[in-house]
Amino acid sequence: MGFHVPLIIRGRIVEGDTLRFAMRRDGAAFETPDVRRHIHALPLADPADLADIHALSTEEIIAFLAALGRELRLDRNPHLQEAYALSVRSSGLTGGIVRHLYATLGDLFSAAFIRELADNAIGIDYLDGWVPRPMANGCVCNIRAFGARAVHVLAGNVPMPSALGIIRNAITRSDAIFKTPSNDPATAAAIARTMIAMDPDHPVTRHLSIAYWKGGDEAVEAELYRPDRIEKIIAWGGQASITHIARYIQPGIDLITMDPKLSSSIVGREAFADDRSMHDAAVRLALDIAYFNQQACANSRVTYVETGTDAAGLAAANRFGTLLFDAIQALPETCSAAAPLDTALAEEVQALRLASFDHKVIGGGAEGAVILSQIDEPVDFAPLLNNRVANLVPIDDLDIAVRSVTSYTQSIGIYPDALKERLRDRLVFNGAQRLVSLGYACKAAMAGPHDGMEPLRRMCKWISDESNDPSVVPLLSSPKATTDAQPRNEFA
Amino acid sequence: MATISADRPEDWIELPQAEIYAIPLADQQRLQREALRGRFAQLVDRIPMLRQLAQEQHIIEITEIADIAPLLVPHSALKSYPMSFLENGRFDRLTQWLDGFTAYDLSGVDARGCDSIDDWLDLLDARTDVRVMHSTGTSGKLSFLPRGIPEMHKMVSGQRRQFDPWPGERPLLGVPIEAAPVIYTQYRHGGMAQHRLLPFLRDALFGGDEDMIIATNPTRFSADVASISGRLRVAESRGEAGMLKIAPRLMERREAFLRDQARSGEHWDAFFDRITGRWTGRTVSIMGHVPALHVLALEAGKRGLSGLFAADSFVAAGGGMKGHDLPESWRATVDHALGGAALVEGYGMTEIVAASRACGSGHYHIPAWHVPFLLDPASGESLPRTGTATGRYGAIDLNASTYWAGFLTGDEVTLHWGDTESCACGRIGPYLDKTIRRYTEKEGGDDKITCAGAPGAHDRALEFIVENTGASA
Repeated sequence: MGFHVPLIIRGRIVEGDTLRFAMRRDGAAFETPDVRRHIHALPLADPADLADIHALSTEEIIAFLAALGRELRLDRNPHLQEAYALSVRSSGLTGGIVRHLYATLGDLFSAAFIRELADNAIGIDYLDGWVPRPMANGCVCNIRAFGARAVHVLAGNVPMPSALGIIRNAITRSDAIFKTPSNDPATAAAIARTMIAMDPDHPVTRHLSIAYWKGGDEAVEAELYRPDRIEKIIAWGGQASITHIARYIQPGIDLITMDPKLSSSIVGREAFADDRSMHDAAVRLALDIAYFNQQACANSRVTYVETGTDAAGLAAANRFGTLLFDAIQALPETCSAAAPLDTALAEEVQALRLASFDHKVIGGGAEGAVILSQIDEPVDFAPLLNNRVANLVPIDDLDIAVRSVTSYTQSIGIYPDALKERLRDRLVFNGAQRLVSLGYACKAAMAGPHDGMEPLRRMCKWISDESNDPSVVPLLSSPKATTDAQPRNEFA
Repeated sequence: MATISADRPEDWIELPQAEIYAIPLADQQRLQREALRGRFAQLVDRIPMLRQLAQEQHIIEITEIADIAPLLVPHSALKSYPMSFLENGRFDRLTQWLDGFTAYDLSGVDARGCDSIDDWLDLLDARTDVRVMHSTGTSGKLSFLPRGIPEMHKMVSGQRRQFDPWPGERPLLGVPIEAAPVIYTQYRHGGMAQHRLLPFLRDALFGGDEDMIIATNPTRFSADVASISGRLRVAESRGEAGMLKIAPRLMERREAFLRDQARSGEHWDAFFDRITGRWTGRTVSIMGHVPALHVLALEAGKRGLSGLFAADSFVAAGGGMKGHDLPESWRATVDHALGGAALVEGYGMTEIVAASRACGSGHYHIPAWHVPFLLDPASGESLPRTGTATGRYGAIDLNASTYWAGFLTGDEVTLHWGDTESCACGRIGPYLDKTIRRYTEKEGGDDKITCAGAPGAHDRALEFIVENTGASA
């Protein structure tokens, strides 16, 4: 079966000269125009052309995005329907979840959320104009966040990165070229086509291009990734995606990586005090594990349970595992649903069942599984865990959980909150980037930091315009300047 | 023709090709069915892993060949031990785990004193009849297969049988197997299948004469280094190489590694001295694969050597001629150095005692002691045992009497069952096309170096250890 995806360059839909590409699953393929034939039109030729979008206020941009959100309705937007049809086949998520994600995609564009994002992550004053900051030496430093010419290398496990990328690009007043992933070449294009239908000449529409080329294609990337054409590269995805890009990184190009991450959970001994707490923790943990069918970086894979590793401790952990398994099965289909396991994972789970004294397994088929470690360490294949396969690891000492955290850890869901406060600094020193009440791992505060940084601030160019009055700030040549108590702001 | 019995399937491999490939298909299937019934009954209570699997699948006896399909073990089971056993030197626990896969009782083996995998392998060799074979570990973890002494002898038989004559086909080796030294393009010692085979070949074919085994490197392929090398490769592919922890024992062995690396040129000199002193222009049997043959040819070229062996020598070229990252001229370089002997492809795996060699029509024929299965790669369901189809390959080796030799590979094969069509070479029974590939390759992420890549990976791991320990010294 073939799908067609257009190339979109700044509000214009480009067709013709198509190439065919395989998608990642089930042999499906899609066609899209050959980017190499349009490579010279892809970067913004004149950086001064960013002036139009800088002339808009944040409120005007929010109004456009909110109107866009109202058009992104799965029941009546044919572009979104097409993207959904393609994503159902390629994403690895079950139909119910994909439908839910596309049906609620428009909600991400709510004015209140975007306003909060712009103000929290950057500060609307800095986006809308120059903000005067008086310095101690009398200089007035006017600061403004400007947009930049950027390439976003998108990941395709869920449609949100496409939508979030468009929002981030618009509020930072940047010009973005989205390089779409082969397992979701259509979502970003569907949103862009909706924008074109609304207003092809709107500056937000005009500063977004959507293209697919095979990652690593030198004919495209050597032309594009040059400091006179691109200032920022925002790259989602793993080592393979970064390896291609790293060749082009040089002074003048800023690389912002959104690495693949793994998340985990810690359930403190308080959860095992009585049945009610245990049940509460199991229901919350089920969500952190199984929402999006465990396809997202925020999903928990390994859970450390502070039950102890003596016989009573193992019994408590195993009982908690049964509650967890049942709680996962009870989740509504829009959150999570049974789906066949990848062969490699299914066989790892089966191998444990056959030959390991150190693990028990509940489930193991399409319903998912809970692997109960009977030793205080996770399974070796923990990075493979997905499609609702969790690993519970009993521990005597929370230190084991703390030391398991690395720079590849993203979220850690913790129960109860008091334990989170007690552990958080130590978890962060080891590499954790986000701590969250158990049960809320997949309900991220998206207007907050991301992966241990503030990507929106980094997507901007932070410019200073310094005003100095010689009667207040003496010239460097003035005899007064050399005796000035203030540090000399010389750049050697 | 010798009579063969379903009670002793381990004898079938002793039949010459002219006999085993002449058994009518219906008889092959009857014999296999009965032999499978016997093997299962004999092993199900002696091998804990098999007992568990049979219980899960509710199988109490085998009545049809197809009954075995649910009892094929994914190859990942052979690496289902926790990695921490190796990292923390828990070789007692590793022994306990291995005990689940073998009919031998390993409970009396005290491995608490072992501090490396090599040490552990040596201990099992000394104290038991198990000869553990490890994988290259390219997935990040070594697999351990507990082959027993009885199956080791069957490996030798398999080696012998590949040189049986077949009408209309050129003999693969121009002299009797006992007259041709084994040239091994790798480390002389180690724990992988071929390393394990060499001493048995030496004793069975050459009366214990070590001079008849000529390896390009006289030292040991360390399982510990292989383990590091696999983990390094996986860590690198994830961008986590900086996080790899090296066991203290390997750190201590750094000096030995350094010395060995520095002697690589010397090893080659000594190798060619042994060849030119006695074997130039004569018929030999080379156990190799294309990249290793290429390296050998380049080393020969550096020393001005060419036409090393007679053209009726046997040259095993591993899994095939394609897919190597070699210059186009590799074939000419190899032919010039070796003297023009044909390169012979084969299909085999550690779990099966002997490889199949490509026949005159370019197929791999499956002898009756090796029972094939074909599964749907997505559902895992058995495909019908008739006609021709492509799917995931599984097999059981009826030679195995000390471990359960029913495995699911990661290979995609095209299998002809031999009932609706037959190969032009005249062999009766199922056969495979040469177009064999790994599913991981097909899915785009080839995370597996075949044995062809292992020595290179081994050397890279040595470099890593050397650099690492150098930096921290």
